Amino acid sequence: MVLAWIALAAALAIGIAALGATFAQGKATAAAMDAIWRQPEAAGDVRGSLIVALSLMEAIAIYGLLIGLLIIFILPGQI
Amino acid sequence: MTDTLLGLGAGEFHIHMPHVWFLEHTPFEISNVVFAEWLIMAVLIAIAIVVNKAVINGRFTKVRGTLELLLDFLEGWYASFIGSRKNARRFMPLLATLFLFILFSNYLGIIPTVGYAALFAPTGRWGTTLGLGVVVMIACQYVAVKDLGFVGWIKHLLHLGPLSILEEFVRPFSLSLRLFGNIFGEETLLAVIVFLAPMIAPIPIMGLSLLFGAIQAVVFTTLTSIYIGGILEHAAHAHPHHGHDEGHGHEVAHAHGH
Repeated sequence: MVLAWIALAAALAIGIAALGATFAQGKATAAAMDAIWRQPEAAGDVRGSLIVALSLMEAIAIYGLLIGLLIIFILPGQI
Repeated sequence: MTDTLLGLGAGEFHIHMPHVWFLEHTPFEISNVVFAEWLIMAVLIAIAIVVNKAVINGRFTKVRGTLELLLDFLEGWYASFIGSRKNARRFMPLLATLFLFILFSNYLGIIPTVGYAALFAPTGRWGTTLGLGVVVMIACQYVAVKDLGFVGWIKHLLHLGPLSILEEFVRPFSLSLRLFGNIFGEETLLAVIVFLAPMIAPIPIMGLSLLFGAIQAVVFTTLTSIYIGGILEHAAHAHPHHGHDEGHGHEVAHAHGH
């Protein structure tokens, strides 16, 4: 029973983190596409800052992934 | 530890862990992670010697051309974050070394080596990436002291109050956790997929991890160049008119006083 709760906790950790991060990434990418469409000569600058911003947002999802992996691999050994 | 969550099916799932070869249970364990780091250093030093010889002799070899193309692209990329191409050239040794080391170590985990001598991606352990992050933090402080002077460094540290000191300490953690999480997550994903479907299924994931390994190397060094670029921007704002200490300050003053 405890293992089932641990599995659910890990799934929620990565799931909710991925939900927020991908929502933000989608908004940022849509805005960047819009900017490139409006001003194609600024595509290089927009691409650079987009990659950095996406990596910063992705870090949040990665933290969720780390917590999920820790929960799965460390917690069952502790109890 | 028999009832782990992933102990499903017939075989037991094992998370990819490094194994220690020599000096176990001492602070100086020689595991395959350390060996992989030494291997990467040896390869990078060998490439450096080969390219250096080609440059000294004036020969245009394939290795030299590839490296020059890569480094020129990187310099142009960092220049858009650090301010100018001259500043990017100044910090290329740090940035390009970090890039090549991270790239090689990300790709090292993909090489399928099985058995006792299996290689382990060094960036898949938090220790390695935290070391790289601390190097970046110390380099930023060194650049700040050198370009802003000691008083300017303190001012730079306190420009948002205690928040900016906190930021300096959070930076290595966010840098290192991002890199470690990506590579470790990839390796774990590969391990899970190999456990579930060992034959064809891992190949697309391996292709993806080639892409993500390169992107993570670029992102780590790009964030480093953004941090350095922030300091250089402060330096350009701090003394535009009076040269503070060495040639750099006079150069700026001269450029502004024309």
